[in-house]
Amino acid sequence: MLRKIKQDLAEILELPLDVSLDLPRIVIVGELGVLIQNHRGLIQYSPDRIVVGVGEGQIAVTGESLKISEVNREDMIVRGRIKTVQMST
Amino acid sequence: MSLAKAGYWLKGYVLVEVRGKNPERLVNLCTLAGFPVWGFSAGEGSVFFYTTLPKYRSIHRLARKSRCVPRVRRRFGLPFIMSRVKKRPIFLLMAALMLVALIYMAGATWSIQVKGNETVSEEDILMTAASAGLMPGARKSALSPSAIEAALLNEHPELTWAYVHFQGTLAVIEVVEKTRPSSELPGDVVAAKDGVVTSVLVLSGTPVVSPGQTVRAGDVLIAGSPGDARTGARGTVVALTWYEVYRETDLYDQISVRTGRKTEAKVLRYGKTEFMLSGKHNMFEWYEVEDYPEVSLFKGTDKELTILSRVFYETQWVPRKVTEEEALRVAKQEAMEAIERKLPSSVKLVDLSCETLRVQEGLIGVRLVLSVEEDIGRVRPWPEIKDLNGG
Repeated sequence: MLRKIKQDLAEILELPLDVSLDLPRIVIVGELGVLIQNHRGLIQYSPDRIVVGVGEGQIAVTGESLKISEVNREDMIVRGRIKTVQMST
Repeated sequence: MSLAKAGYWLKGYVLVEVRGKNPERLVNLCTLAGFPVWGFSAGEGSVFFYTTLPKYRSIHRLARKSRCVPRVRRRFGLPFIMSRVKKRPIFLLMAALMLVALIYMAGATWSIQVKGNETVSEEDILMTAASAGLMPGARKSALSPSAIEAALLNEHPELTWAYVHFQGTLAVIEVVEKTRPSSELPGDVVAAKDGVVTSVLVLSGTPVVSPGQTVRAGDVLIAGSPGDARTGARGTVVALTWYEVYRETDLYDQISVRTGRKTEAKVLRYGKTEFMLSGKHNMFEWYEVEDYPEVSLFKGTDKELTILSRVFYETQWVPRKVTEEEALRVAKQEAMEAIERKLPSSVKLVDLSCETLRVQEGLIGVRLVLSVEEDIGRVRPWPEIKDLNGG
């Protein structure tokens, strides 16, 4: 209910939804990399699958030779040969 | 390298291998704690990542929390280089000594180059420069280019300009010599060769010949005034002159043809020295040699080691008839080359005639005659007048 109110308010005030609702923002650079902003931490890491926690779900990146080139509290950059990016809530 | 990476290099950073059940948790703890971690990759049952040296010490506490074991696999950056250097003080000392020696030697003059001199010898200029302090081994800081330039101009009156500058350890002395007006003795202008005068330009003196007149070598063309004033003749006398060249070629020549017989030898060549390994050396009177390299080591050096197969092909001389066109072309080519060697550079071509002559059977001749216009005037100085007063 609170989330719905927040979303309506953000739409009325024309605020970016990802900022006001604390949602992840994902940027995919072809098959070369994925930038995940506003993540909640690493859940699983292997060279062919990386699972990252976001808000109320997870983002799973699959591919080959996956590496986390940068990580801090806000952002995570995954590089390698990306095959799929899947979000589950 | 980004600015952040350069900062990490200054602080020192390490490649950490983390083994345990949940290395992802350690990564999360590190990011939550604000530790700089980057470059994650997975190994067999382990995860690798980079972190800075100061933060690595704090990672142990987090590792215990996540039940992982971190180990340093590689070290990078300035603190590690410094610690290695500290363990080798002699190396540091030698490096410092080398640096000092390099700086000291770069401040010296190692070689001197002289440019622009023609009549003044390089040795004389170098001697003067050496007396002013510029010599191989001299310190650049102790030298004054302007003083060296002044010394050069004082010592050598033939020089009108001198400039000393340095290009690294090379000192360059650039000079310009004085151009003196030609000190020709007064005299008459006479013909250097036979010809028909086409134009006369008198700068001083009295013209003796006029256009259309035939002159022989040695004839006076412009006469000077040998009286008290002793004004020599000067001027240009252009005349039509001729150059003739005759060349002949044989319509028969001989060419070398391989007979089919050959001998072969194996040769070991080391630098410029050769050793016969096997086979027969040449046994023919006339032959051609061909080398076929088989093995070659240290190519391009003066210690090149090659094993080669040397083949001697027997040859014989076979007469061949040259076509008339070819013989004529060769004769003309030779005649042109010969006439070009004879011609002075400043002539104007007026006419060219080429005559083909059949001298005898099998011999063809070419006569080239060139008519040119050129300045035939040369000053012939008058005899020196002896000073009877003995002055």
